[in-house]
Amino acid sequence: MDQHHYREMKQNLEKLLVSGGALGKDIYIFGYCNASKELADLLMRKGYLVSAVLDNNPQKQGSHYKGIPIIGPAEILDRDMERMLICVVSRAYAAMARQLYEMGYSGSLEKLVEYNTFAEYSLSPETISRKKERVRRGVETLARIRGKYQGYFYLICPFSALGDVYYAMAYMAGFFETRHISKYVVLTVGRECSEIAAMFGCANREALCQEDMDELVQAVLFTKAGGAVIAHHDRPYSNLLTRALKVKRISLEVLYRCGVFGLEKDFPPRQPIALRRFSGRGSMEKGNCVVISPYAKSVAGIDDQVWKEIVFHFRRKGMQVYTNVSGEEEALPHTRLLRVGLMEMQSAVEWAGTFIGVRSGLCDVIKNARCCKVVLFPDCYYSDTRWKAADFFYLEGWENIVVKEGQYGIQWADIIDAGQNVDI
Amino acid sequence: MLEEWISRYDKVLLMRTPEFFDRLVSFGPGLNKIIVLTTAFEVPPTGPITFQRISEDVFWELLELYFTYEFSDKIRLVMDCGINYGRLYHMVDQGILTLEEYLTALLS
Repeated sequence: MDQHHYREMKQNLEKLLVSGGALGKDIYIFGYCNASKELADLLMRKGYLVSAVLDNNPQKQGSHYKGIPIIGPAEILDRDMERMLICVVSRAYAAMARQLYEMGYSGSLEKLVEYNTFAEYSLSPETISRKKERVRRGVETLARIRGKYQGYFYLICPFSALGDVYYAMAYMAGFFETRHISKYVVLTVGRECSEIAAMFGCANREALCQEDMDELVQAVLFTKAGGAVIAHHDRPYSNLLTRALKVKRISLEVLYRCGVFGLEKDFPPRQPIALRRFSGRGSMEKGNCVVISPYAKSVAGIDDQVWKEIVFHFRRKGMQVYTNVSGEEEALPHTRLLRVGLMEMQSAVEWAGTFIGVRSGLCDVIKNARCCKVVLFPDCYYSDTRWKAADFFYLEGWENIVVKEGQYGIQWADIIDAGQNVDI
Repeated sequence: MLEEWISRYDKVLLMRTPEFFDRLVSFGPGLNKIIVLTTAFEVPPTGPITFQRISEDVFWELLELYFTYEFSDKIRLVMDCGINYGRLYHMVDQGILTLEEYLTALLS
């Protein structure tokens, strides 16, 4: 979960607790995902017990998260629903709410994060009116951008995720070639995503906030605006691409190459062309350092104990250990802080010699770095599919390691030695 | 009518052209209750899948509402409306999915 949504979740939870909404309630969370784990952690830190996490995926049911059982939603029906509070921090709130009510759920339900302003499973006149107003605002945003970039094609990256923008940039050239497009502007959410576009040499870029972007995407749909492509694997909602994962294991990159842009299976990705040399070379010993990246949005985090073992392993080997951070993130204990811009990141890890991180968009950004690269995956499923996160986000040319919950004492020496046969 | 379709069926397919009708009929609906809303002049008789012809006006009204917001996750739009975004059918074009797999995914 990104920092913006995490703050929103914390604030909404705080309001709920202060208002007494959780008093005397058995707390449940619907959806076993990264965000749900973060909510469970938050609740437990505040001294609340989570009775269970509900999930429709039979492959998740029966497992546990820090002692909390993962159960099927139907299992709550024979419990005292008046005592129940179900919290949702998933993107699928609307579908979950409908499912619960159709099942006959009569307890409390709280949405703690608003991800999808485009989704509301209601056809009431009030809802329709509100959504029309949202489209109107999107049309205004679209008109403003059109005024600034007349005659340009719009490549819209609708979600704040580095990896998604990376793949959109890597394959947009093929899409543009087939349509003879030469003048284009890339629209992203936030400056970091805009920086990814800059890495690929995109001179014309506009960074919007997520709310404006969601409204703009809706306006593109509503007006059936030509001269634009919405370049994402699961947005807008009319894009059914991730349904493909219901029948086949397909990687994120293939979804972009073939599904989003309609390019052939073996179409080569474009590489970033505007990378910078690492400016901290003077303070980092070349080839004897490890950059650790423990933070991610789209997959669950890795247990702190695992990071402690990794730090211990490398320090014992006499290597300098850095934690790569951005925003308010903190360095891991006994590591140095590394705060590097995205354009310098590939150079920084190549200079360090070793990169080890949880699977995040940053891994895509440095996927071609010539160094030892290890990516860690939590042992969890991707979204509502039967595929693990490692199946979907696998990285070619990396050591891909799945870390199971409570799995400590990994032989890092074996893994790193295997990955170090790289000409740095 | 829309509310009724959404409440009565598991999936509501919006299709202008009849190109997949035969495959859908032979494919069968599995456990899902499916309705196909179409402007196609000739529709197959209702069997495991319900086919319902709707007027052009109703079709475009539905589409306008669908493009205003996601009012249900049961809707499947199976047509090219000129907007560029990721398409499940691209996976068939590029040989990633077979047509059978495409229909399975579409109806999942």
